[in-house]
Amino acid sequence: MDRSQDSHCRFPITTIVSIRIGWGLAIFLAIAGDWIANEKPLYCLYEEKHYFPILEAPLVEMGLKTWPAAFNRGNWREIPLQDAVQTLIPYSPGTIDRRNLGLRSPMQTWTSQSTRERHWLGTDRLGRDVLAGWIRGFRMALGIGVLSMLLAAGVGIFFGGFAGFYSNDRLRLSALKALVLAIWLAGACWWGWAALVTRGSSGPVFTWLLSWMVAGLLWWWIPFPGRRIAIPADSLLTWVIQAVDAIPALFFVFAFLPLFEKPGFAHVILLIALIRWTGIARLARAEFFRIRDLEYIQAARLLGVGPWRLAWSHILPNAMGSLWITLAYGMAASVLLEAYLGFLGVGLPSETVSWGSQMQQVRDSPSAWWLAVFPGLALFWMLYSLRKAGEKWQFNT
Amino acid sequence: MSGFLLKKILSLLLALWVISILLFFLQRAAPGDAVLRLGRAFSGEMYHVHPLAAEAIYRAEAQRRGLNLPAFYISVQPAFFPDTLYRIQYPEALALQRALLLETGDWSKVQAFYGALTRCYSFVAEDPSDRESIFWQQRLSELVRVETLAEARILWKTSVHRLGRYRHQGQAIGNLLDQLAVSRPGVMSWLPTLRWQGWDNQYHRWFRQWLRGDLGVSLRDGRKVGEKLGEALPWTLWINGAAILLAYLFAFPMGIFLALKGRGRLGQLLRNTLLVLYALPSFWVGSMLLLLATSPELGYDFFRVSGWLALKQGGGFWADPFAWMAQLSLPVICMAYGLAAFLAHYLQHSFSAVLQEPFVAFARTRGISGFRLYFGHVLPNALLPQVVFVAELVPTLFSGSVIIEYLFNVPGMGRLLLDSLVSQDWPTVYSFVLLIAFLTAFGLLFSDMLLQWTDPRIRIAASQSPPS
Repeated sequence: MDRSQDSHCRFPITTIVSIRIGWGLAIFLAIAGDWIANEKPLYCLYEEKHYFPILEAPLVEMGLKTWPAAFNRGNWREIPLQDAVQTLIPYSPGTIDRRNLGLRSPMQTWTSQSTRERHWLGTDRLGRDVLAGWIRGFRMALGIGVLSMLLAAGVGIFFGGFAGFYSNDRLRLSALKALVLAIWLAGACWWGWAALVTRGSSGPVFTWLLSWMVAGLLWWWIPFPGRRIAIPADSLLTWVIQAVDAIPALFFVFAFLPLFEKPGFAHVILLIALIRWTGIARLARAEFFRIRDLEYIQAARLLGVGPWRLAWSHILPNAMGSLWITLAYGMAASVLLEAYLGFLGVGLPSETVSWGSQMQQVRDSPSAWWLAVFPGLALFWMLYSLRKAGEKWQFNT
Repeated sequence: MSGFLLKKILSLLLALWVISILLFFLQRAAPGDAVLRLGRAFSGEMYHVHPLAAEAIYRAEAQRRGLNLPAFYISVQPAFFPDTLYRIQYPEALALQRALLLETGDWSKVQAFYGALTRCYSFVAEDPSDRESIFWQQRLSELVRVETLAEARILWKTSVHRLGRYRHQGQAIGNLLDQLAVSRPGVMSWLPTLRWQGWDNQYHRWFRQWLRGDLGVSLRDGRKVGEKLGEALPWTLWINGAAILLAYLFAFPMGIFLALKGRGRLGQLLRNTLLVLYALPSFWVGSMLLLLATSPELGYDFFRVSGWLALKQGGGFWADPFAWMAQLSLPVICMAYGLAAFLAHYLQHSFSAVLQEPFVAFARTRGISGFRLYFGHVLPNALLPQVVFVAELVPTLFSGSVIIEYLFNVPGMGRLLLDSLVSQDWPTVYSFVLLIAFLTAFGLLFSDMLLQWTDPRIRIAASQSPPS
């Protein structure tokens, strides 16, 4: 972009520092949220035995450890523990506080014994602690945003880079080899599908699948004679991107969600990545196309650097400069899409707590301002800082 | 250039065709069964208790809806699959025969087994209902719902000693189960076979009807999808139209002002405000507006945000313009502000980029005055990149209107889509998504053409070499 804009597009140091502190806090809350807001105590003494329930819970879930049956009944408040050290907020995002059912404002007087059990940000319709849910929201937003963008970046940079690196004329294969490859790919799809349908009940299918894979490896290394034709990698990718982009993101998710019987975290991540890779691929393609003929790449080619190494350690680092911008904007879009889905109550199971699902409750009870203000502020801050970061990179390069 | 354009249109049509196939198969894979939901003559209760008794009714209903046709032009199946498997539409029958076929690979025996099962059932059902016949009706209904051959054999073994007066009919089932247990599909029979299924298939009919404007029948209330969309469309168009208008009315002066006079402290502040506005999630702003402006507890109730249909029944816009405006203002503001901020931000960048061009300096030296320079020479050039956004507005606004219409209970397209999704009304969902895909794709094509038409540089570049 033009340099003349630099003078008034630079950011004051305070903004950058506050963004760093904010992101540090967000990542901390996303990772350590369970240690801050949890109905399970950090440490407790039960029937003369010591337990560390938060630490032990995953082990118990995996079946590696057992603990008293009383712990599995769900409501930790009713277990007669002799001694317990609670976390800072003694509620999990899903804990229903029976004494404070319904929407309780943070300003209200509370029917609880101690200050520690106070709901600092109020409760929602089901009597769940809003602060605990708010902290869980960081994990949902960051988890879905980061993981889906990682996936999308992997797919997008690979295919975009491939198309940009080879474009339409540089990927030359013997015609026979291309044909064999196409047949092999179709066969691999078939055997993969057959293995999925039979779920291992049929022996021949797995034998077929395995031998097909081995045969593919062999074919790749056998030199094929004959005329070499150019594979139009670039046109193919452009066409796929065009097709994917024809369906807007939210509608894409709507169309694919019914495919899953019980959609969960992983499915949402997968769907968001499936729709978001195109933007990254587009840019990666343009960047690889631009960089592949720069002088230093030509020099590397003359020195005998192979195509994979060339792409990975010479072109990609150069392309990353502008790819970061797309990644930041793309992550903002993913976080927003996650919030949309939570708000609409589509996708994740209905008991999942996220910023979107908290804000959804305001629709039915507009006077519950605490359910709108706090999650909304966090979401806004995240979107704002991501876009600001994107803009900063955009004008610094 | 026309050759390039033709190529582009063809590739676009191909992409849309593939999308329609994809959406068709997604619709088929979606849970629920159209006949069970819509068949008026079909008693769902009977189906759940005695699936075999309901088969004939189901088949007639499915035939009426054209579900007895093959799904697609071609089919790819293992060699031991019959090419007429599509003729079995009844979900229970299909699931059972498919599972047994995958396990045993012997189609004729599987078919014979299912035939014996139904024959036995009809024989038992015709008998006067005593304890024995009721027991056997239940057992046979259970047998239809098994998932593996082993399960079927165990079920049979535990009940065969109670055959009683049905010994003769039951024997055929037992024999066939024993025969099925020893057969397995051979190694080569797993090779894929490609079969041509004919032009008259379900996809062909669905897509042809869709192209002719018949979007199918809603599973929710049996009404035509096109009719439902037609009712919802005006709301979305009104709100989106007003939002786009408002956004451009705001974005133009703001963008130009920032480009020309935005170097000072005020410009910095405005620029940051735009970024903040752009980052504010619309549904949050909507919730806050609802909270502040419509809750009587806080003392204000400026906007009535309920009763859209009542408003419509009260007459058109001119019957009570103030009520309409009060009602529309909140959703329109929510749709517009983010777009306005984005457009202003973008216009500012393209405007100041054009200001750096040599021709501006040249025009200044020729003494062209400020107003004529900015609006006659700079603005047209700065607007060129904006043309792309006109096309991208379609998907953006439709996505946005899902959220906003849900929040404000507007009975528009987005709301209809969401309701259909929640109530598993697949024909509405997928016809609508296909419609959006067509609109988006042609919007992008249109903006491409517009850009080439307005900008000679791009036109020349396109005709010389295909742009990347």
